[in-house]
Amino acid sequence: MNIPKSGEWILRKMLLYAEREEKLGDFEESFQYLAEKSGSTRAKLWYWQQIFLASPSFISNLFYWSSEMLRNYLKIALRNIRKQKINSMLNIIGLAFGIACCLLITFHVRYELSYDRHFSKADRIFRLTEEGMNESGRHVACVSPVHGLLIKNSIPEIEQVARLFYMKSMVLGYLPQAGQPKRFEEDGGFFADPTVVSMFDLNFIQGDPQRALDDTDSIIMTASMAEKYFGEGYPLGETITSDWPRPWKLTGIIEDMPANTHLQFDFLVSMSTFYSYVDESWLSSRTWNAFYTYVLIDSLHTHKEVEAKTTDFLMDFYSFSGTREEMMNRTRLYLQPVASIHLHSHLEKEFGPNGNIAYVYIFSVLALFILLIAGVNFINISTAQAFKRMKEVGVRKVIGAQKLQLILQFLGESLFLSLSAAVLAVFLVKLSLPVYGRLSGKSMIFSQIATPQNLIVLVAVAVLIGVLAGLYPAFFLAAFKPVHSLKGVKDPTSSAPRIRKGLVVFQFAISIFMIFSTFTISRQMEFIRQRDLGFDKDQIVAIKLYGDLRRGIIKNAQAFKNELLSYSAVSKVTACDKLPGERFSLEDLRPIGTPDDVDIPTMRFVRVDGDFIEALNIEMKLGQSFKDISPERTVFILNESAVQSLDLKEPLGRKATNNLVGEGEIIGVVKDFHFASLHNAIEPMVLDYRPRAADNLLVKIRGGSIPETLKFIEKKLNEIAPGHPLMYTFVDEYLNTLYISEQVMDDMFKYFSLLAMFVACLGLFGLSIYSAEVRMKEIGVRKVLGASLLNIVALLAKEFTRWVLLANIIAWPLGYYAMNRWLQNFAYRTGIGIEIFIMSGVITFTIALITVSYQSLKAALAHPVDSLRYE
Amino acid sequence: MKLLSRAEEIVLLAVIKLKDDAYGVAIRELLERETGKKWSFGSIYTPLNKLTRKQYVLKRYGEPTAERGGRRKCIYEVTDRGVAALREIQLIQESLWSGLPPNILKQEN
Repeated sequence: MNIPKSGEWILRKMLLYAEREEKLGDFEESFQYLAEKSGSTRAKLWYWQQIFLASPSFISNLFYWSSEMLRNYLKIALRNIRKQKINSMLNIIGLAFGIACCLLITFHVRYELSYDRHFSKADRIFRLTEEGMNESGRHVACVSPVHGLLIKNSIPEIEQVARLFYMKSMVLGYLPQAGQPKRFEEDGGFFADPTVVSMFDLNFIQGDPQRALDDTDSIIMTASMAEKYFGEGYPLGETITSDWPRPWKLTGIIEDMPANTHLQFDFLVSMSTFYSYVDESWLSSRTWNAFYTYVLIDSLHTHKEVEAKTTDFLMDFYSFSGTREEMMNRTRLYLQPVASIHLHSHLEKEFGPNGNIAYVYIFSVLALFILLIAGVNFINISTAQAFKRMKEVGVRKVIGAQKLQLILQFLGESLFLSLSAAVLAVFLVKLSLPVYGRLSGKSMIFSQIATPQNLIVLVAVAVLIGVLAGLYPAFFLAAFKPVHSLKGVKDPTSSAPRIRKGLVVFQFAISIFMIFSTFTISRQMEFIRQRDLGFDKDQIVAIKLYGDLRRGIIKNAQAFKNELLSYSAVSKVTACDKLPGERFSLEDLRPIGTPDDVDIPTMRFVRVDGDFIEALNIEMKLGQSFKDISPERTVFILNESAVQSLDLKEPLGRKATNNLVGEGEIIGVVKDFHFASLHNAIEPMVLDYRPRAADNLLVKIRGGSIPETLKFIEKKLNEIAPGHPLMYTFVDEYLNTLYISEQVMDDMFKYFSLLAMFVACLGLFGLSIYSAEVRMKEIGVRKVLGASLLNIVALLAKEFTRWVLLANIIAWPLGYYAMNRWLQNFAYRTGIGIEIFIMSGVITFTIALITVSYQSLKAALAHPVDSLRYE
Repeated sequence: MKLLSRAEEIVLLAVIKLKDDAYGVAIRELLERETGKKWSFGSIYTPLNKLTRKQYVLKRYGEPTAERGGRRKCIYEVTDRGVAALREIQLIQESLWSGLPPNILKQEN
């Protein structure tokens, strides 16, 4: 008589493994007895009835013993952690550091990616950019004032156009009815179309969003700027003075722009104001690329479709008579998605230095690396620890633990550890935020980071690592034969340690790669700092000239300079319109006699006074400097690159015209010097002698204290224009700002490679403990047979040495390749010398050796009796 | 120490009486015979589980037999603690039963 299969299946599921056999037996025996006595139908009925009646008892028993086991597992887990304090600590701390680093980098990357995505119409806003396709053509972030006015008429897909014109940094003033006037330097000002308000969702705290920028002489400003001038309260209708004629009336206060937008401004003045200031010939120029122009396209069309129509627009715009292809080869318009500007756009005339997608990738990879190292570490230490528990596993198996139970036990333990590490990581992130802020120049608040969404991701990551890290030891141990584990067979040549060795090599390879990169980056930064720029940048104060101060000084420049020079610490004084490192304007210089149809390359122009070349110690190559030239003359000095690109055989005495200043004479040639960042090769440049174009006063200080000299200068400036605060920067400091993103990367790599090394060492340390323990008896025997201390240490250190060497061999070519690519960013760069290879090798080697020798020494010093009496 | 429940007491007594044959089927049969009532497996496993957890009985395995599908029996064996618990319940019952008014039980019959 057969019992019902499905019934037996249900019974099996309800029964504990340990009682399955007996209970099934009881059921079957009674079933067979009943079947013989009363027939199979009754027996089957009875069988099902019994299953139903017995199920509560079985299930409650199942729960009872499961919870009993869970308590046991927890107890054992805690005991293990306590028993192996150092290892467990290393494990948790290492993983916590790894997760914390990874979290920080992830936030950094996510922040970079979040730029400009918060505008409600972000996917429909595009910036118009124009690229000249000929040889000297450039891709400019701005277009002419007319582009924006006309493009909407010819391309109907464009719903709205908003233009912004940057006004260079200047000092604004507020003169209250009573009390002191307030003056501040502002460099975040634009003339703006009224459409800016709705396109970029400007949030008005005060004022009418619809009309705030309609009237001439209207200004709106951000709340934090308003606070500087007006303190508490928002007095609409007050007036602000500037370098421009007529005061501006405050018509609105808006919320500050978020930090993660490329569109950084503090105040906007209505565009009609600008139109009333500037000559009609400027405003109707179709080649004056000075207006940031944003377009909003309708949701039915992609920007590529709209972009395709711009060629026809341009042909019409420039009254071009050639074919479409010829137009395309001359000038093109592009629509740049607003969200891509921060990371992808590096055009001429950007708002400010943008981020770089390459660094986002680099940092993402870095985060992944660190997490990998920490994860590998976790696996390594867990496995090593688990090996010490082979006896426990053996006993459990003999008693009847199932494979699944053992796997779950080890997975559970590793989950417990990884979750503790995650909690610790959150604290670490909290602690390290200020450091991160200093490194990256971005301030982040902890509450911004600790959002529920982020915490869920964190827990998910921790669980993932816990599971991944627990899987290997779990399956390895679960598959172990109890006989081996009980006999204490620990075979260091079995496959598991080989995998672990591989993991350690991998970890070290990553660390070495990062150290290698750090050295190269630092070397390049040092190279930038040390490079002879071709002019003297040290101890030069650049003083901003504005308002009455500017007028006063220009009126009587030489007398004022002499007054400053009378102070002993002031050695040179000169004036110019732009500082080295600032973007010099792009203009044409056409030598007289060049045929009209020949394209001439555009050049960088800087306007300077007579002492500029001497004050900055720029070397002359040919001809004379501007010294003692009459201010009425128009004269130019070119750099070598300019002479070359104009192909001038005999530059001296040649006449040339510039559309701003007219015709002048070339009187000299200077050697090329780095007036811009070292990312780019030196461009053709023209020094234009124009003493009245002074926007900055450069004062070279030699000897004497800088604060006192500054105080003296301030006093002198005050005599000329009282109530105008001194605004200054140092030229060398200003030049350093050109390399901010590299500096951030340099600092980050320093910290993170240190951390990676630290975590990798934790792993090595854990492994060396294990290795020494496994070979305890061997060491004992060797000592008894007469091995010296040195022999033993060498024996233990030897294998680690091999791994680190292997790691070096793997990491060097990778590092070389990656860093070579990075260095391509610079037109002027250092090489990757052999010493970088040696240094990264020696450092990792030394650190690894120190890490290992602690355990090796301990093992070598131990008395053989202790290790041998075991059996 | 919690007192034995009635079910536990009955099952424990059956285990003692059955000696080397005290496994599930035999216990159930004995109880059905002695009480004249139906006992399901569930109703004897629940007290048996509790007795096991309290260590009043121990389990050991007997020989597998053909009518059990080749499965081994699990034979229960009372421990000293089990005997002590029985004695305790017996004493309590005796003292509770003694001194009742003599007529009450007789009228029941």
